[in-house]
Amino acid sequence: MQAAAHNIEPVMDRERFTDLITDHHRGLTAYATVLAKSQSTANDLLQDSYIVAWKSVGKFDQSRDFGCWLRGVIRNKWREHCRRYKRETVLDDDVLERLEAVFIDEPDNELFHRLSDCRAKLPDLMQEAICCTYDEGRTSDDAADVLKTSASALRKRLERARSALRECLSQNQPSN
Amino acid sequence: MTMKPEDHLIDELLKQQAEKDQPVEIPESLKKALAEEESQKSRSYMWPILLSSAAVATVALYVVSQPIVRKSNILAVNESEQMIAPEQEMRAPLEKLARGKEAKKPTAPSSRRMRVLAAEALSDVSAPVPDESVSRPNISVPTPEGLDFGAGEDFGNGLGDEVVAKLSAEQLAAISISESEVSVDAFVSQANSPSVTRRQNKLSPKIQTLTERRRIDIPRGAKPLDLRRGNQYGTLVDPKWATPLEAPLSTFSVDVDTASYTNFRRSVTDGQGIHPDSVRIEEMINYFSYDYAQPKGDAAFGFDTQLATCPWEKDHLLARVAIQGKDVDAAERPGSNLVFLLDVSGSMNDSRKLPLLQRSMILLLEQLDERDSVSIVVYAGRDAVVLEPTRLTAEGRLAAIKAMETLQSGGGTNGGAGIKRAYELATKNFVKGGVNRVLLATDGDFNVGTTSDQALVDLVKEKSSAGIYLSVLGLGSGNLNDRMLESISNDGNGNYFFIDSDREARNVFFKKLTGTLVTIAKDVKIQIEFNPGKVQAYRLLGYANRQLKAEDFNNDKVDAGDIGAGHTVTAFYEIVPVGVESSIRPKVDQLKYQIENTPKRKVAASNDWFTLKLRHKAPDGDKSILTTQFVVDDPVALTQAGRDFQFATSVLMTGMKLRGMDVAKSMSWEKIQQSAEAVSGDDEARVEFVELIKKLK
Repeated sequence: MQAAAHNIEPVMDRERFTDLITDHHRGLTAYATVLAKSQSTANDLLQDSYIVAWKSVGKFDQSRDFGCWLRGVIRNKWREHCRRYKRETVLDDDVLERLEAVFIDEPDNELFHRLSDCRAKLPDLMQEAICCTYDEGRTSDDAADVLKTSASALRKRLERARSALRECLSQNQPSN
Repeated sequence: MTMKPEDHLIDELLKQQAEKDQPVEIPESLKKALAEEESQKSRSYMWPILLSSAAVATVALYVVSQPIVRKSNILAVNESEQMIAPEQEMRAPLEKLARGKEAKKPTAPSSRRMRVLAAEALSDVSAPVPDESVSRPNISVPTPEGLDFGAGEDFGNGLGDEVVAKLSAEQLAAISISESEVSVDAFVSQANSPSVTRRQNKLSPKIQTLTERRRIDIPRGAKPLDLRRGNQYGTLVDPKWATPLEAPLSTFSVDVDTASYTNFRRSVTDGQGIHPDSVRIEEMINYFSYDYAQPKGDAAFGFDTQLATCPWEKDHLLARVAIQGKDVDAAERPGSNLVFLLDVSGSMNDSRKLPLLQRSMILLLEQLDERDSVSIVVYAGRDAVVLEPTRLTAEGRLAAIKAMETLQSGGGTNGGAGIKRAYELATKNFVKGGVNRVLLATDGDFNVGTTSDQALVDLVKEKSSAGIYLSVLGLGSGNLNDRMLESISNDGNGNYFFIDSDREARNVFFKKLTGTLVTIAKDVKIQIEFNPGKVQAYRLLGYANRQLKAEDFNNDKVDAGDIGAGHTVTAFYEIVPVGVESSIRPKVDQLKYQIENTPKRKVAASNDWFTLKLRHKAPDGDKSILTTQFVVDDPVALTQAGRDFQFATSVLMTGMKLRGMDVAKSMSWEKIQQSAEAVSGDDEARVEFVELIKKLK
């Protein structure tokens, strides 16, 4: 196509970079937390990654998805971290691939739209369980009280719900 | 936690989703780190300007320094691998400048001086240059007036900071001049002249000690021109108070667009400020669905008028004038000839622009069938037909979807050439009695090439009178030329949408598709005659740029808005009834030469509040048809006026408040939110509106 003959990207200035970070921050936070397994380590990891990303933003091919690129930066940064602190472990490639399958080229609001669509497809009980714990911020014990079920049953229900959601998100790729 | 990582991810995403309405906080420490990096990086943004100012010089020197460049390329690896793609960075801001109609061109005024201290490739014969000046050459350049290099307000102004640019050796070589201090003009002329004195350029191994760091001092006091916040809105002047004795007629063109509301929603969601001129009250009200009386029989319109008390001024009344367009069953929709004119310029390269546009268009294509044919023209630098007119049989649809999917962004924007090409295709493939429409999708600055705005508007007008209408889709933000887009869609018998999400795309291309495609009436004008026996003063709320002269109402040559199938139009008037003490018209002294302040006229005895007249043309007609309706109903309390009336009033007040109108004093966001919430029910759009108002509080 003639239009694609040469690419001229918009200026990647700090403001645009910050906007992109803001648009992707929640998804990236989730991702970093899974790698680092702790919120505070994840926060440090994120911050380091954002700075590295900003430093090498010239290498970012703007025709690619920003979130995907940043997840790559986060992975590399995490590997570096693991080399330095031997007790931490890097997830193996298969797992990383499965994590990647959940994301598509999209900022957070679209990711959450997709997630909401997937949630809407769950059976009512599962939807209720998610709403009661995540949205309303209850512990599984408290939520179990509210939902009049046992905590272990609720945890099981949530587990199945999460796995259904993962499958839905991973399948729910756009046709292109 | 024993959760599998994949499930842990979902767990984290759900937690994040629960907080998604909280603003994302970028930690201060990160902001600081970015700002520090910025102070280095912004130098690299200086280069394009610097180099463009002295473009000729650069080129000339580049040629001279070719031998150095070739060798030094090998050396140009930054230790921290922070190489910036120089070419890309150089082009992009220029591109942006070139596109922004109001951006000042970075041509250097003659007083501009460029001070270049040696960063020259060392020669064997030259005296040793002190290390400091080798590693950190100074280049001070006054910023071209009005340029701000991305220093956002959160980070303080980057101007005047010490700026260190990282340069590749290529750039270094390209601008190296020995310890000279020259004005740019002189610089240019010297560079053009073969007699430029240069030291020996032979590359010395010492060049390896040149880091990619250079310093550019940007003087303080340069006026920042915000390149990024380039959304352009036309100035709106709200209709003023008038009295029926002096100005009995209020005339305006209908508007069924909704772009202003979608734009408002995006601004609130993104936590951005809202420009008062981006708020078109009528478009905000129109965004929502109302249950108005359906047209009777074969009539194109149903009318719904009502009077109720005014929430912000207890003695005033609100009059609602509502029109319901006839609905057309999707199965009975006439065939269409659609030309998509898509902006795929570099700036569309954003997940909320081109990919969203592609998804929206594919959604639209999926709704269309054999009755319809589609062509795709892209404009980016030059126009290109990506898909010749194609009938949407199963096969044709696949071809169209494929063409849509493979679009990529790149190049500049010359909308002017593109739009001509699009109209050519639409004309060639004209469907008599069908929908002939050019659908222009862009993120903004619709660069019209050599054509002026007016010439473009004229083209759109001319084509619309030939039956080819224009729809405009706005996307993204940053350089949205709202004024231009709205104005050309108004002139093109068109509609203007702003697509901010997949949900909105579904709204426009799925739920309301027939309304989007099928125009049931064109040049729809409304004229209200107020009865001075009942109305002391009135003002139209909204329709700020849709007002017409009274005489335009009967003049069929004067353009007005169109109504699509099933569309509704709602307008509100604020009325001061006769007999109410009003502060609207401040008292003046008794006139000396006129015995009475108010002209005496005979007023017909009538119980009407006003008469509503509507003129429209059939989609293929030239002569307008007049419909008249009298409004005699007694006003009711707002709470008795029905949910639609009350909800629309909340949206109305929001619009007025955002525009800084006087309602702002008496109506708090809290009150508006409560009144909207009370009548939102489970209507998704209304609930969302309430959520947006909460964010405004």
